[in-house]
Amino acid sequence: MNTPCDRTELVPAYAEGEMSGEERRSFEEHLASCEECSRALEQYRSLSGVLRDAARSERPRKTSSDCLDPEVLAAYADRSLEDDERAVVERHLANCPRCLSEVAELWRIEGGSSHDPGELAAERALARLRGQSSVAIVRWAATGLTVVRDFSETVFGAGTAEVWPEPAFSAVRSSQEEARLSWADGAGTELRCSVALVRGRPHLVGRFGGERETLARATVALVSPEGRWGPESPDAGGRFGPWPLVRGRNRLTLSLGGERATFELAIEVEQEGRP
Amino acid sequence: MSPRGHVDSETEELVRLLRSGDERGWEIFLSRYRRLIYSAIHRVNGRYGAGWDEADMEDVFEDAVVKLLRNRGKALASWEGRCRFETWIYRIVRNVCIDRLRRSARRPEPTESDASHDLDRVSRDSFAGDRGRRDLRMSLEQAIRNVLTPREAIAVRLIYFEGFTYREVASRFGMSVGAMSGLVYRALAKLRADGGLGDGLEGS
Repeated sequence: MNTPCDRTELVPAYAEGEMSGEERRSFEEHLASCEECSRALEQYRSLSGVLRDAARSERPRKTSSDCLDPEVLAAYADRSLEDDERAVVERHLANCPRCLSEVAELWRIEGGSSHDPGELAAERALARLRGQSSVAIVRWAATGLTVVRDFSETVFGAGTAEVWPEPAFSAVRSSQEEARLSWADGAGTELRCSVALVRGRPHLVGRFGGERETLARATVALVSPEGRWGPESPDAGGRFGPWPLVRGRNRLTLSLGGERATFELAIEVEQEGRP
Repeated sequence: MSPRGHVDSETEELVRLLRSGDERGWEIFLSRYRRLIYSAIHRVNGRYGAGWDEADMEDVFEDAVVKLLRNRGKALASWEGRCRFETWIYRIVRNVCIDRLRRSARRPEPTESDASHDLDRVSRDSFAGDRGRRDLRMSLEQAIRNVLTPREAIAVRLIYFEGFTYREVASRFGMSVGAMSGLVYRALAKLRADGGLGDGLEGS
């Protein structure tokens, strides 16, 4: 009578593709000469097929009347239990598909690669928690006289820009708050814009400053997804607006005419109006 | 089972803030856990083939955050420190995801690649085939209960019924893949030898 082969227990790992290249090659060589392992492999494939086929039928309903506390299951899932507690939980899990499934779900969603929803999504969630009827989340970008790298970095070619408050987007949560952007070319020309909530809706107001001659040539217009305001000349103090902003890309165009290019400011607004 | 030492002082302070309804707690919570929450949503999306795009997942994220923090962190407040705080968060996020899947009338059905999970075959299955499978499952459940040790039973259920790989289960048990292979091999040998299951296996 032959001695039982001591490698048959590796059959499942081989059949499930869980061996490294070298282990696999070595096991395949062994299989070619070991009848016992070949037979075990055949049996394993058949049996695992049957088990997986059975798994496609509906999971049995609750099979135990004393299901475990969810936190104990969670503690088992993160391996926080002492040995004796773990053994108790495992005796239950062995016979309770429902509790085991709960553990399996936790294992499935933990770990793995990390994804960031970004601060905007977090802001919206906070707005909902605060029960705010409205929040405007504003991001700025400018083209024309300026260089736009991306929405998170506001870099103006000829002048320097300052966005307040940091970071590159601003959340406006109440009529007391506003998102501001100011731009200056260092030669006396400047543009200030702010977004504030007026009756719960974000509005843009601005002020253009510069030499009287430049100011006289300036026209300002806003195109939002819902309509167009202007072009019009700023008032004597260089002020324009308030113009309503809507969710999406709103474009403010400042034209100085003549030799100077059009200045375009894109204001992206995300509004959250849920109670 | 008593609370264990899974609560560091920072988490303890955060939970205290949340329970007191202090909004500073919300911001701390989000800065610490927003990636964990969103990553879990990503994995549920993949696992159940929910077909959510980024905007959908951000909506689920909002729902999850609101569920976690509203009413003075009621959902979180039931945490007693037996498991890690992160695991408790996972549990709540997962429930929010499943609720949403149910609402959108999608059945949360695992979509992990599984060689034996042949959809064409499922659609061709006759009623008799379904009944046979159900009977087989019942016999298997009984055999698993009667002849396997708890660890063997858990491993068999996770691998064949829940779609986990050997490597995943081995790492959960703190075992090598080779040792897991041996454990499953012995478990299947017992199931094969068990009379109640014999017919089903012979016929396959």
